[in-house]
Amino acid sequence: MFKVDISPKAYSDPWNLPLRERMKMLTQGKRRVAYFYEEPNNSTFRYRAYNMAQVLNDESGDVSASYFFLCDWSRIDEIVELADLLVICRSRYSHRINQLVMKFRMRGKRILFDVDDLVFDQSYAHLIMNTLDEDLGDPARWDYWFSYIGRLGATLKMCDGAITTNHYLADRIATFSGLPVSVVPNFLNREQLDYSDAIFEHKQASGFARDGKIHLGYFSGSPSHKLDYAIIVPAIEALLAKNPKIELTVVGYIEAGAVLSKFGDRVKRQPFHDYVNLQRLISSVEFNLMPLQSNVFTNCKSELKYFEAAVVGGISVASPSYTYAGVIQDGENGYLSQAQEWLSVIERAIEDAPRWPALIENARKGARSKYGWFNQRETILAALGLQ
Amino acid sequence: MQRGLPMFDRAYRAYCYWRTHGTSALQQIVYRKLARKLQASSNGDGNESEKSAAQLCRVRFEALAPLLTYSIPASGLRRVSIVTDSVASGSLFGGVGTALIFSALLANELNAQLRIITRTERAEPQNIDHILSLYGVKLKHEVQFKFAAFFDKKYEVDIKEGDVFVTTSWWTTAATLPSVPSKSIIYLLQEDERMFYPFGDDRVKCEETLRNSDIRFLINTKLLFDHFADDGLSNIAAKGAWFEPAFPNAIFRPRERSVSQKKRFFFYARPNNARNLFYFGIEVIERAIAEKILDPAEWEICLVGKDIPAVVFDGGYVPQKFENLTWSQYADLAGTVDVALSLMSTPHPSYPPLDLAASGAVVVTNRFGNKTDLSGYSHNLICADLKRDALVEALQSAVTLASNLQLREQNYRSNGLATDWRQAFAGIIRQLSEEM
Repeated sequence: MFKVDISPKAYSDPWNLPLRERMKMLTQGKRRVAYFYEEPNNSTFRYRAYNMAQVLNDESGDVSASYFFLCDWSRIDEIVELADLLVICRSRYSHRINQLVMKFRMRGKRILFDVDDLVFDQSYAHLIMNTLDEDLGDPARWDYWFSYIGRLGATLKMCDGAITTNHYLADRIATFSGLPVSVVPNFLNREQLDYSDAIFEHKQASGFARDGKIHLGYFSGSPSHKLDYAIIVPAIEALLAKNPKIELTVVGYIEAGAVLSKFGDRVKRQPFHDYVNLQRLISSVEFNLMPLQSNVFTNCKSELKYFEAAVVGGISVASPSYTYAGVIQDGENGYLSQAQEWLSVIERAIEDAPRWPALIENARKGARSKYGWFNQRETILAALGLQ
Repeated sequence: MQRGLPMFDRAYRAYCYWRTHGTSALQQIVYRKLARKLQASSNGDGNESEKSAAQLCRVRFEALAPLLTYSIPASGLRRVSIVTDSVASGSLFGGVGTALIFSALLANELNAQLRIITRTERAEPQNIDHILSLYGVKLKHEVQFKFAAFFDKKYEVDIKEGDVFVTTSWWTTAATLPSVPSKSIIYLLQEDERMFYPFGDDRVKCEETLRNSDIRFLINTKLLFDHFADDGLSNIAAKGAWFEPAFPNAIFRPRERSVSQKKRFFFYARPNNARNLFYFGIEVIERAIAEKILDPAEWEICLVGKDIPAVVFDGGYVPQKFENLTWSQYADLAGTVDVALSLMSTPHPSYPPLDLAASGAVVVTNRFGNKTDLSGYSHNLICADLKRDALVEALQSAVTLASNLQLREQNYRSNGLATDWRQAFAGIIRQLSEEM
């Protein structure tokens, strides 16, 4: 485990601002972008609305942006008047969404849809439910997923174009909707990157000092990754049995699994952390494990877990999904492992210890450059058609 | 107790099930049956309720439960799915290993993804990595794993247009047939599986699957293919194809031994696999020792296999036992053998005689049906009638040949065994990739 002696950061959701402040944010520029999400959250909203607005508002220029929610509906006409462009982020169709779209359209203003998962085409509902280990015997779950996906698909089809996180997903959106699709990757916002930089510099200054143990980390922001995690359990079991220096930390909503209970306190469990302090936790483990089942749904996932680890000096071992295979050069800035290779790849990565500092530096440099908020402005403007 | 089913019959069924599906699957079925009985007794209905014919058959042939499939849109890569009981380390070599190598090479040829569907236990992914690495097969795409337990009603297997299914036994074929298009199935048949059973229900069902004329058959060895053709399986004769297995030099080769060591005799000893004729084999060895063909002063006698009972041969000689070897231990041992006896009471030559011949040993095996001469594989392979004296005589010839190091080496060098799986499957994979 890396020695990371840095204090936790007091955290509160930075997007919790009164509507008047968010309205003010919107009006700072000459060209104004309104991001709309049903209600704020720590995942999609943060990456696809909050982070975008933060970048667009960073430079005193002619573009400004803000974000709004269904709870702001009482002042929706003011927002429509003030904004020049609407980006609806992953919001389910409803009378409000229809009204919102129509209000912008009647004023000749463009509407874009932003989505970060393959959750708009009902023909994939069954596959998605299986991938997420949903209870197929529960009719309510079928109702939920067909409703959820159908409603997102309906919203998407009402828009003039779409924005998404990667080209694989972009192709699926284009095939489904016939709309033009642009790609803006997920990226690190200012708070996340500032704290990550502090952590990394601390690790760097200590010469990447470690205790004698090797920690594998599995970090999950939702319980829906149970079957992804299951992919690595046999390899982890074998590694823990072979090497007493190896330990496992599971963070978030996933249980480590009964089969690993025999290893006692070498298997640690941590609760869900806010996204800033999560960086400190990720920075402490040598290896950030990112298994994904291999199918069309998981190939649409973004690479956020990779860059979150890379910027704090964590070494990623990932399934070769579309985005992970695109960003990770095996052995250079992380490791790629097919489902059957986890044991041998992790063993190879451990043996690579003399190269870790170079690999960590390489991964961090690349991640910062490609996924730092400060390099996203042009991409976002291009996707919005505001260049 | 199940009424009307004598204890012996149940024990025999359990034995047959264990023989074909393995210990882990048998344990699971016992647990499930106990759980079912407990539930039934707590519900107060015991076994009193009458069952329909279909229900009775479903319980009796639980392993034939159709794969639960659902369709997804055709997109992305094609898939080659292998349907097998288990890929646990103990069951991965021999037939299952061959099926895996074939499926992996076919997947690469089709630029498809390999999917491994197991029916009795969850796959250990690293086992797949190990065997593919051992044979130098690098997959183009990631493997998918799916545990589709025949006793589980909740799992589902997604299928899409273009999927190919490689089935590995009559029961996995029978379970796959109702759930996917027949033309997508390749049944990799590596034994006359009818011979697993006495003349009863299992055999009838097995025969029915073997006579299916809608699926493709790929037969392990021309010898077995000819056996089926000669036996009237016109569907296999007309639409089947065959291949000869490969024995890569990297795995199967003679190993260095100290000259001071005794000569080494190997007997393939699996008393719980009836077709390996364990008891017949130890009688042959006993006689060979008595006749000084195998003199314990000169020969180290090794029994290699599983569940080997304690045995003492003529003159109080206690053989070495090697049980549950890993694949590399098995290959290392095979490379040090001088003479081997490996019996198989079916038409297929089976793998151990070929493994051993590929490793430089002189091997005695038995004739069966059209399996009368295996010299095409190696002149160090001696086939004898399935009679004790004939096999003892064959052992005498083997010992003589093994001692003639020059001739033995010459025979080894001119082995007809393939050494590269890619070449072994090249023709059939090219043909399949054009057809499917």
